[in-house]
Amino acid sequence: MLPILRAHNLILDYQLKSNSIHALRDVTLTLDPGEMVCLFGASGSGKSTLLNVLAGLDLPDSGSVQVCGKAITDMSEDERTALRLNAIGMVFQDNNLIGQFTARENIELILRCQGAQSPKQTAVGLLDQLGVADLADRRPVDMSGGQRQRVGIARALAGDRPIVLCDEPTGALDRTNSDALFMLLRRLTYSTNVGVIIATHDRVAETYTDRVLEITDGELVAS
Amino acid sequence: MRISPLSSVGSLLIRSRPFQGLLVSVALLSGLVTTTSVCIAALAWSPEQVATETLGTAEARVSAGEGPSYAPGSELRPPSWVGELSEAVDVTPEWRAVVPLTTKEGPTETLYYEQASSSPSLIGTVDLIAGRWPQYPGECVTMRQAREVKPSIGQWPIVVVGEVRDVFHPFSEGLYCAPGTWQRWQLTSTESESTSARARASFAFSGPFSLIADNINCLASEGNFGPMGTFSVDWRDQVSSQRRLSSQKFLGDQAPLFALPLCVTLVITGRLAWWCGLVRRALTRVGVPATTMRRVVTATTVFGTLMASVAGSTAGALVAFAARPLENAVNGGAPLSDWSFPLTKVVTIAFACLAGAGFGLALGDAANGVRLGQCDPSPRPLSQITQMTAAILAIIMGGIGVWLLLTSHDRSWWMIGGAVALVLAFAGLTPVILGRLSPMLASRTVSARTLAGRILVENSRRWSAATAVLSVALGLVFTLFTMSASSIAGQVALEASPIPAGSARIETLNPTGDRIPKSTATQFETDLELRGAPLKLTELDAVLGEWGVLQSFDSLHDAKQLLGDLSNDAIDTLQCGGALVVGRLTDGHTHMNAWVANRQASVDIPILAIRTSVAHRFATGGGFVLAEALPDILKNTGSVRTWNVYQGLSVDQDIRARAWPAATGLSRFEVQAYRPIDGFSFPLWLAISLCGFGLFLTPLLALVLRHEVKSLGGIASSLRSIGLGRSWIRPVFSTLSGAIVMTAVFSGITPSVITVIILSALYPGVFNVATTPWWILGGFGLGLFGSTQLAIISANRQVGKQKHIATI
Repeated sequence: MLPILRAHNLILDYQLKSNSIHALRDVTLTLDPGEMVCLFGASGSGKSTLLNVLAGLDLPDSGSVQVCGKAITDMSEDERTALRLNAIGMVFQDNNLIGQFTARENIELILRCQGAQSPKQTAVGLLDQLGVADLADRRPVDMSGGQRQRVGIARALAGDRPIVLCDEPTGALDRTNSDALFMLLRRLTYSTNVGVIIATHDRVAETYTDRVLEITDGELVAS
Repeated sequence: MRISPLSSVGSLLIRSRPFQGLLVSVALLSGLVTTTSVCIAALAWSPEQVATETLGTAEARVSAGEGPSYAPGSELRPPSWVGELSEAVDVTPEWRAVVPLTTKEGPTETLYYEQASSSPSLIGTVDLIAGRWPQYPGECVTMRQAREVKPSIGQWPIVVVGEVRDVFHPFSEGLYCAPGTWQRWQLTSTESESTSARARASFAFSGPFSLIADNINCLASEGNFGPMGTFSVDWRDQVSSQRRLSSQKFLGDQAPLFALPLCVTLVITGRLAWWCGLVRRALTRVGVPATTMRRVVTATTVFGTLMASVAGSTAGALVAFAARPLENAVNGGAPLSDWSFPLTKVVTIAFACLAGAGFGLALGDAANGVRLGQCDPSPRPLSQITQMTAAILAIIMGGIGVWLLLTSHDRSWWMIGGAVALVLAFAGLTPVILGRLSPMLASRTVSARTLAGRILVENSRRWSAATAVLSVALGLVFTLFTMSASSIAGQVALEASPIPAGSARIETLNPTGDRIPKSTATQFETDLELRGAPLKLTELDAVLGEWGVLQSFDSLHDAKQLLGDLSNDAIDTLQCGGALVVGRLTDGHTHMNAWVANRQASVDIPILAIRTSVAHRFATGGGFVLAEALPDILKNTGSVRTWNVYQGLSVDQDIRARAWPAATGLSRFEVQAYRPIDGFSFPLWLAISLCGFGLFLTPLLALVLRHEVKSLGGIASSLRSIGLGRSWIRPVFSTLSGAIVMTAVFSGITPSVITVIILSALYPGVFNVATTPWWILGGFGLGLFGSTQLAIISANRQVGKQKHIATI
């Protein structure tokens, strides 16, 4: 089985005035379909940077990223954005839901842009799958943190995208909700064959994942 | 060592960029304003300079407006009383006339002076720059003219022996000749009768003031200067004191210049106050009392502004001093007023800057509370009650505006007040318009347009305020433009040639009763190669109400020739002794009183308004009547003035007809020829000004919109991170900005249209709605819309380029 995500020798430095910050140092990783990988690291270790590079939001100084066999490091910004729409779902710590849209509309937005058939029904189905169908017509401001994260995951899964990248998805959640969220992601990887990377500093995630990676000062260390 | 909060806050403030920006701006602005005002003030002559410009070194000059005039060829003999005055008083007669001359540049009318070179009027006012002063009859010196001049009519042997320059008016033209030159001008009796060139005398008095005053009083009482009220006396003292008064007026005119430092300092200090508000909020959290910060900010700002202003003004004054040679050269070499350090201006500008800084701090401080509240990201929709209140206030304001316009009665300020009230009324309606527009955009289907609509709805308070401000700015500019364009179009129509192209007419009998010599009329026809007999048009001594003097034709054929094809109604009116007027009768009258001046009586005659083609548009005023059909009282009024009217002239003949009086010097009888309006028309200038404003407004608007788009950067990056590219985000911003700009343009154009329509209805001769170039406004609105879209694209790119450094 071919990996759906392949990163090779990623190096990224940020120049802040006279200092140079090594955000990523020679990072190499792969992700298989249906695999759930946990990426641990302290604050500022480079977890979010790595996810941004894997998603094509940022470009590395050197190295390559391949998504479903396509090198995103050679793509233009618009091409990378289009790839995110069709191949990579992202879950953010602050969920990044569009505040002006309801839960259903946030998901429908992705489906409509993908040109999906009957986007409204599909969106409701996804919300139902995540147990928040009753929130379909609510706006993010009217939901709890856990509910927003579930809607965020539903949006990341919309359109049958093969990869889901989660950046600190439980950062704003309590223990119970965190456990429920990890369990939900685990279940989804089995049922939909989606490859998931979760960047977190919550050690409980280890219990639910297939593989654990540790990142320190931008350097990836397999645990 | 203990650090005092006062000194640490003070040094923080002094080192800050906003404070340093304030100092630099105040210094630069003060310098600029001082330099400008000192340079402008230098152009206004001192009282002594004005006295010299008017009188030379003479103490007084008597100009007899109605005194004897001398035809060309006459001997200019000083009156006998000149030699009878006491020895202590010196009188120099000076003769002047307007003469038709021909130079290499063509025929022209020039001022002619005949006086001795020792005349006190010449001393200090005219400089000999080449050759010598004329000494013998026939010798002259010229100002800015070719060295060869000859009269347009007659024989006049003039020898140019030098060139002079008017010290105070370097660009003026004239001819100074030695006494006896006028007498050498030889004209035939016909030429002499036909030319209007006449020499008149003025007398320059030198000597002790009291003796001169006694002599002038004595001479005036004996009637030597003509009847009282027909001559004028310029006294040196009087000219100086008049100048002092107008200097005050001049200073008053410059007052707006001093408003600039006040306004600019107010704005910059307002920004400083905003920055200080943020710092104060941070410092109060760590225990520094707010009052300490306030005191330090106030003291430092006031002191810094004062120092920067004084330093800038002083430097500006020195720059103005150093630039005097350059200014003198640019001013054509005309003298500048004497230099003195502009202490009053320095103090005034410093005061203006201090006042601006004080107001800026106070207003900025008051606004801080509101603006800090605005930083709160929570949605701020506009309530229904607020929308309704705004609508009611707008309707009231609109009513006031219309009332002010309707009751303006020729008062400009009333009209401007009405226009401004209408602009404010429509600005007040923008929340209602946006309140209706945004829900339409925010439909149920998920799309970029929906997102834009919802962003508008969510923060309608903010967007409405921005739209209202924009609509006020656009409304004021549009209204100013339409009012000016429509009124100037009316003026241009008034200034248009009274005679259509291809026509000319020459006065054959003037109001003083002089009849044109047959030879002159023949010369006119010969010079212009006119074929065919002219039409006769006679002005009667009768006035037709507001239309003016009645003009009669000898026959119906002549009437048709001049006015073009006439309808049966028009022919009937003429044949019934009625009058035709060109234009529109506003009151619907079919009859009107014609006032016969020499009979002190009036007669009621039929009247009909007709429309004529451009080729027959004789806008010579009055009503046109048929001589043979007139009622007896009008038949017997007699002719005040008669004209020979020629038609079918070529373009070249039109040009020669315009130049004929100057070319021949035969200007005693009026010649009217087709006169096209030269140069740019005023509305075009206005259009250029509007384009200039657009060029200024567009980048300003682009900057504001970029700022707004950046403030929506959160939404943009959210959309980007979930896979929606710039092509999806751009319509969001475009719809948002489009709704705002189009609402503002609509709210700006509408009051300007209403204002001009009302004013055109009230003042049909002054404002003309039909001639307002509306297409320019439409183009401006579209240009504005297009440029905002470009700004959106640029801002969208910028948002897209933002790095994710914060996510490390």
